[in-house]
Amino acid sequence: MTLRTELRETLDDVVPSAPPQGLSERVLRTAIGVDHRRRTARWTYRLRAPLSLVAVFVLIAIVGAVLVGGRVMRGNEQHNAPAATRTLAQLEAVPLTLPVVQPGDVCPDNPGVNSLGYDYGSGPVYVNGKLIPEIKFVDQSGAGGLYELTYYAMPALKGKILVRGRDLVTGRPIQFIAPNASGIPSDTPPWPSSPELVLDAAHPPSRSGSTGYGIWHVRQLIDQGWSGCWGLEIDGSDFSEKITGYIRPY
Amino acid sequence: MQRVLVQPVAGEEAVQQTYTDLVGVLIDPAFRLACAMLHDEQAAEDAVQEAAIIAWRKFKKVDDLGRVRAWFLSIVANECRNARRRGWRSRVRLGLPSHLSEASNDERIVRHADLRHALLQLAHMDRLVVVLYYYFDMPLDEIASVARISRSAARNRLYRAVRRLRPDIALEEALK
Repeated sequence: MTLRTELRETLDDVVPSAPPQGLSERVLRTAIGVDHRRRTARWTYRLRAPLSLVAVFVLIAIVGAVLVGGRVMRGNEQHNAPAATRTLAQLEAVPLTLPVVQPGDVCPDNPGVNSLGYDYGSGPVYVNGKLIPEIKFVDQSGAGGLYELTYYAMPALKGKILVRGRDLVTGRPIQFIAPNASGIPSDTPPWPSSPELVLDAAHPPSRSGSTGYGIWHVRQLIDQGWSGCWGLEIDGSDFSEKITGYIRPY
Repeated sequence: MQRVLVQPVAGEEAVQQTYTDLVGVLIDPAFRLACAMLHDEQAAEDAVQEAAIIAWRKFKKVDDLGRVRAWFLSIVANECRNARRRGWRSRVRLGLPSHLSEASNDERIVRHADLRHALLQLAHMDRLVVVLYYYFDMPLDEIASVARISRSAARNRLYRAVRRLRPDIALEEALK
């Protein structure tokens, strides 16, 4: 057997015989769409009035807001107590309202690319991430895989943020593994995991220098036999966010 | 004035159509190239997506549309290199004990495991040259264009990579 034949057979093992369905259309649409959004943003910036004029308007707005809004605020404070942050127990008591998908039904894929460029989420928490393809393991519970995700929370958020998720078809909970700053806890599964991820909005492990967003690196675990259709519910003191999506099972 | 500025630039639709026509047919080979380079479908799809975004931004500056294939594949190859540079993925792969790897019953995969491993051990540019030469049947001139190196450099890299992959067979035999 020639090296050419051997290499072809070897690469045929890792190159699928056909690309994912609709790949070409999806890739081109995204490429043109992303650029269009960025260009629109660029034009918007260029169209802004001279900064001195903007500054005058801003100053007038601030003075007006202080004079008028201050009175309103004082009036409101007498009637409304500031929104209290919910405790973790209160967040855990919130029932999950993720959709249930029957086998064979279309997965409600809602992520898209949001305005901040993150993969998932409509705010105030966003998620980026992907499968770690090298980690496919076999243990007592069967084969599973790890996903490496990064959570971003708006800087204004306070209190605890509770993240829970499940396979929308099988109902199996997504398991969260400790923040991955220290790597995989051990080489051998089972790894310590929890069906809940709790983020402390005031004390993220790191913050974005430019936006102030809190950043958490997290690994999530999916057990054997998952459908690929998943959902996350993110509950905070004054918001509840749901993200659903589909990732091709391996 | 504002309305004019936010309108699409004149001829943009034509550029978009040309881009779609020319690059659209290259997405599948680009995906195959990325898979062959990364051995990972999802990472390959990401690399192709990134490459398509970059290509669209630079498309108006392409002066020779007849060389779009080499130009686009070179962007894909570069994104594959970036993908492999990103963080700890490769470290995890090397650090994982073998018993964590998913077992495979496919004897063919097992038979080619050493060659696949040797391919992954090659430097990015060497692996690219090997993939383009053996898997895409590309002539050295086009390989040089995709890799953005000279023809002689492409040939030297190919020879060197072949010696590493199969040190036991003659070069002329290996290049068949």
